[in-house]
This record gives sequence, C-alpha cells and structure tokens, in this order.
Amino acid sequence: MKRVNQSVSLFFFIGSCSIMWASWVMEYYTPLGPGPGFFPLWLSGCMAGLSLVWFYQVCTDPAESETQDFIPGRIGMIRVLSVLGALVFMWLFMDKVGFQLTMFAFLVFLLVALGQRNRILTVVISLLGSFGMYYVFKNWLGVQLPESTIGWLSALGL
Amino acid sequence: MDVLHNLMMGFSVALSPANLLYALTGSFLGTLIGVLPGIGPSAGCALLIPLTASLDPTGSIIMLTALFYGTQYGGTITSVLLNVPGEAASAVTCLDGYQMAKNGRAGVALTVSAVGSFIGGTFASICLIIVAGPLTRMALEFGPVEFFALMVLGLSLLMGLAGKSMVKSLMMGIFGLLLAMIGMDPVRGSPRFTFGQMELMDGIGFIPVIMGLFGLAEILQNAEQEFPHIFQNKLSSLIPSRQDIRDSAMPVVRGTILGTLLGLVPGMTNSASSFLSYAMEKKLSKHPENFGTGVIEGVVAPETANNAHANGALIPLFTLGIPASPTIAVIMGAFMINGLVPGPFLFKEQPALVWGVIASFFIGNVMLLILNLPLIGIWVKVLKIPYSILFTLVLAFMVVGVYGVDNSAFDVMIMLLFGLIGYILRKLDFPMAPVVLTLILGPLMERSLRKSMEMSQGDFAILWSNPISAGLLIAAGVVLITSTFGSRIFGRKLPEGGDDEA
Repeated sequence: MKRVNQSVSLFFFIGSCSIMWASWVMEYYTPLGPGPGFFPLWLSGCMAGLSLVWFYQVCTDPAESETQDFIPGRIGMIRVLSVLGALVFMWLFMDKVGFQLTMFAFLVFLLVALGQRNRILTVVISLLGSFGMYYVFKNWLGVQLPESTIGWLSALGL
Repeated sequence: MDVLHNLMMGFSVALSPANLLYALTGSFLGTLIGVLPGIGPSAGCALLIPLTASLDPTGSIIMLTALFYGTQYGGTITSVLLNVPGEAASAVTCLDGYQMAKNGRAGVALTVSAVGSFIGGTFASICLIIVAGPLTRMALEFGPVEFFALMVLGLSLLMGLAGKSMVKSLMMGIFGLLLAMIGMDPVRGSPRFTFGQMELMDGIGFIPVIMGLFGLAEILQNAEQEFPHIFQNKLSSLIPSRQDIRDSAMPVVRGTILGTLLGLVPGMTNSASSFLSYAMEKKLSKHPENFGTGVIEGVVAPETANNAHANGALIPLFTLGIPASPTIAVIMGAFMINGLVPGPFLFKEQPALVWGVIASFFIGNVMLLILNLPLIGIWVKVLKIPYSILFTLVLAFMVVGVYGVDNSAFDVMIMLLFGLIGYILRKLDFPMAPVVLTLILGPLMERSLRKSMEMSQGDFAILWSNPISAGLLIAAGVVLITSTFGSRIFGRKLPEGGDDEA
C-alpha cells in the first residue's frame, strides 16, 4: 500500500505543478485587479505543498499506509471492470446507436456480469429498463434521450 | 407578525395540489433512497435534479428537500429490521434497534423512531423560522470580504471534521476548488482549463461529478464484495406501551436540541449527531449496561437527533447561503440551476418561494410520519431485490439522470471518470465531502475574493482589516489547528463524518 500512496501523492504533486504552470501563463494581475490566473495559482501551490506533506507522512508514518486492500479479488475485479466497461460502451455508442438499443445491451450485459442467472427475468428487466424507460422519460417527464443517427435504425424509431 | 404572515403565505404555496404532490414524491423517493444501501442522499438528490428540470423552481426545490429529509426516515427501517444501516447516520441505531427487533419489538422501535424524527425535524424547521429574520438581516450587512471569510470558516469546519487526516481533507477541498476553476473566468469571462472542449466552457457539471464520486464510486466498492443475504425480523405491533413513551420522552427532547444545534455547524455530519446523542443517553442512563441489548432510548435518541440535524442543517443554507454538508451543497446547486442563489437576498427577492419551501418542511415531515409505518412492508420487499438487479437499475438511472442535464454523452464520461477517481481515493481514505462543497462554493469564493482584492487594489490586508472578517478568519484558523492537533490537546477527537452523509 505504501507504493500506491506514494504514487498517488506524486501524481497530485505533478498535477498541481502543471496547473501552477498553466495558471502562471494566464494573467495573474490586471489593472482592474486579480486576473484569471490569480486564484488557481495559489490553489495549485497549496495543493503541491500538501502533496509533499502527504508524501512525507507516507514515508515516515506506517499508519498512513494502513488502508484496505487496494486491488480487489478476481470476482470483484471482474465486476468492477464490467461496470466501467458498460459505462464506456454507453458513452461511446449512445449518441450513435440510440438510447434504446444501447441501454438494452448495457442492461443485459450488467445483469449477467453482476450475477443474475434467470434469463427471462434478465430480458424482461432489460426491455423495461431500455424501451420502457425511453417511453416514460420522453413522453411523461419531457427528458429527451438520444435516437440513432444510423439511417435504418432511425427509420425503425430507435 | 411578519414571520406569521410570511409563514401563512408559505403554506398557501406549499399546500397547492402540485406542490403537495412534489412533497409526497420527494418524501417517497427519499425513503426509498434511505432504504437502499447502494445510493446515498447526495447522489439521490443529484439524480433527481435533471428530472425536476421541467418543474417550476418552487416545486423542484420542495421535491429535493423532501427527498433529503426523507432519506433520514428510510435509513432507520433497515437498521432496525435487517441490521443494515441504509444511511451512515442510522448505523448507531443498529445497536439497540436490531436487538429490539430480535426481542420482537421491531414495530415499537420503528414507531417511536418515526415520531421522534417527526418531532426533531419539526422543531428544527421552527428554529429556521425563528432565526431566519435576524440571521438574514445580519447577512445583508455582509460585503464580499465578510462572505469570503464566512465561506473559509464553513469550509474549515467541514475539513476539520471530514476525515482522519487533515492533510487529505485539505487536499480534497483544494481539488474541488480547482475543479470549480474549469470554464469561464467569473470576472473576466476568459476560458480557463477547458482544453479546447466546448463542453467545458460552462464549467464542469456538478451533477456528473457528484454522481461519480458518491454514486458510481459507492457501487464499484460494493461490487467488489460478496453481495449480502438479507435476513428479516418479523414486524410486531406498532403501538408503544406507556412505559415506552415515558422512556422515550426525554431522549426525544435531548436528541432534538442536540441535533438542531449540531446541524447549524458546517461539517458536523448527522452521524456525529446520532453518535453523540446515543453516547449522551448512555451516560445519563441509570442502567448504561443495558445499552446494546435493545433499549428504546438507544433507538429514539439518535434517530431524533439525525432528523433534527438534517432540518437544522438547512438553516445556514437558507439564511447565509452556506451549505453545511454535501447533500445540502447539491440542493444549493439545484437552486443555482434554477437561477437562484440561496441566502439573505432570496428572502427579499423570492419570498413566496423561500417561505413555500420552508412551509413544505412541516408538510413533508407529516407525510413521512403517516407514510412510513404502513409502507414498511414495501421497503423491506425492495431490499429483497437481488443486488445484481438493484445496482444495474441504479446505474441505468444514473446514466439517464446525468445525460438529461445537458443532453450530452460527455457528462456520462465525466461521471465515469469521477467514479473511478472517487473509487481510488476512497480506498486511500480520502474524504469526498470537501470536494463537493468546494466545487459548488468555488465560483462564489473566487468572486468574493477577487472583488475584495479589487476594492483594496491588491492588498490582502483587507481580509483582516474589518472586525467581522478578521473574527471569522481567526475562528477558521482555530478550527483547523484544533482539528489537526485536537487529539493531542484534548485527548480525543469528535466522531468523523462519513462521506455520503447528509
């Protein structure tokens, strides 16, 4: 865990330094008063300092590294990656393929990945959660959800 | 007389059929979110914001605040019946609540908790009405210098109480402030840290960030573990005996006062109120050894305190425009989305809205009292839904909620990114609450600071040149120092707040 803590503190430090640089390039002070770089420069400076303090604490105080296991077990890891992968899929395809089909695939995949074994229930929930939700949000709540930009899918009302 | 007149006006707004429906929906959804262990009040409120976009501002805020205090009621049910706290604030209720359920007194535990919660919530709302006038008058005298100092004090209190390490709390506070810098500069109007992305010109949306840090990160953490099986105790008679009522009376009074007072302190979480209330009752009891075996005082006191806290925590938001916790910060964000800035000016500019929302607190608490007990069976059935289905549906709603804010898939990516960041940072014991507060307060803080600096032509001394701001900044310094070295000075620290607390 010590390595993880040290790496994250260094990541924060490097990130803060790059924000400091970007803020320095912006105007720090103008004739009218503080410029757009004023506040972020001070903030990133403080963040850089705190990251170093934390790095020092991690190196000198063993209690700082006593946190839960960082890497989950095999099944846990598969579930975490499944959730993240499903969300990446939604982000990439929702606008192109349309909400209904993407959400249907998202639900089927996640239900199976998280351990649902009943196939009929999986299909019913996925249908209600995709086509049903689209109908409710569009017609009752006035929330516009994306439709497919692919010609033949769009023609089918998807 | 002014207060009574305003309150009557508020009731006339809150009692309109549409607003009654919004309060009912908010209360119902709040209890549901309180019951579900996978999603907390902050993510629940954030999830609801896009769905309230088509409502008028009053209805939208009524629904969100009802959801907020409704979560406190929901958490009790699972603590008592299943030994699973739906919310962090109800964790201490498990100690005696679950034992009462095992002794066949679950119904009594839930009834006295609901009544205690109602009394606590109502008392805190009355306090809001009483202090609203004097506090807003005082706040109207504040200029940018005093407001900046007040925000610094509020954030110091939050960071001082948020986590185990002050360094990590401060880092998270600054992280939130840096996120708030993304987008157009609030004074000059030039873009900052947008990386050429049009979607970032208006700043990073707080809804995707909150959903990521609180909702998705929580689901990822739960997904790692074995999904637990739910064991349910039978629900007995709901009617308490005379002895139960006698035993509950003083704990309710003490829990109400303690919760309301602690609710006023930014950063003091409602689980701290519950914990301290439980500890106080144990100390005052003639038989402290019975605590943990199913005594009614151990259930009613913390439940009353956390509800009083939840309603009390709305006082700084309404009167000073300072959110006391992450969920209140989300509600503040909802005000802003509707073009409103909570605080003293809102009482002047939108009295019907403010007093309508305040009046709705009383109505919402009555609804929750009436709704909760008959619906307990439904809430328990909801918990029997397998986690694979529950989490998948919550994720689907999160995607729709986040997308619905700006009709942008980019926000889904932001949620995903912050979910991953939140998941990693939670594992390293970083508190998430300061990120949300500073993200929402960041632009206001920057504007106040830069206006102050313009007034003084760049001289920082303006911040401590007037007695109010100097006093507030000294108080902030004292809070930070005592939080850092408190355990060495006083021997022990106050209970820490969890992340997803109201």
